[in-house]
Amino acid sequence: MMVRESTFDEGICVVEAKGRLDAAAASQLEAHVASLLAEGKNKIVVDLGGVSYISSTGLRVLLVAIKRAQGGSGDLKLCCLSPRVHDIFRMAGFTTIFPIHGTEEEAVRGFESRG
Amino acid sequence: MPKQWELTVAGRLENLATIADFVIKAAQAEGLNEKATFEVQMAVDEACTNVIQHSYREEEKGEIALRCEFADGDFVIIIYDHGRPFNPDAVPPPNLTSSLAERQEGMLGLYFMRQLMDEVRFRFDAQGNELTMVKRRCR
Repeated sequence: MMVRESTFDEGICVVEAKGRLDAAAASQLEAHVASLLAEGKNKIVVDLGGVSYISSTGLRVLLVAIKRAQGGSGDLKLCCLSPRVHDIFRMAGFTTIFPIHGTEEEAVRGFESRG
Repeated sequence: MPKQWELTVAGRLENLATIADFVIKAAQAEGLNEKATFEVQMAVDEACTNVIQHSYREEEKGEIALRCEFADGDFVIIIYDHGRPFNPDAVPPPNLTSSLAERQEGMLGLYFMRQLMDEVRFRFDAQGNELTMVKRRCR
């Protein structure tokens, strides 16, 4: 389900997820993001534009990841949520704890402007 | 007699996609609207994930059987398994407003099921575990 990973200046990594982020796919995302964090890459953008569904297990993976990223003086930002996926984030109360951007560019700029 | 849709699969995470396809196909065939179809498949995905991860402890010990039907204006889904029973009343509700540092991981699955469906009923006995979920007026 992972299709692309890009690295921008300042070590910002963009991970693009696609398809259904159910518990099976979430473990793939978990391993992918964990490897970035293990390499010290803790400025991460997760592009959810191609994700049609995210389960509670997918949300847990992102919650663990943002805590680890912020613990390493980085952050994890989300972008491009479909209305359905945004509804799930809202239902979980996650819209108040995740930086959510409309586009990948905005999410990346969010890191750059913070320095 | 309403048409019944049935599926039995091994209780493995890689079968969640097959389960989702089955529920979506049944819901669409029975004329559920798009929002209701999405919500029903999500509730079923969460329920089956719970069965695989908690009742079967991801040990591939058993099967999950699903049956759904549209009757009297309601879409009804029954999920059967033979894993460990659990007490849904012992699952605390998630805190949806705490700060990131205090936000606990997990506990959202059952909460989602109850938010998305009009009825969520568990029954555990010697024959196995049975979960019935109902979505009302969803066409």
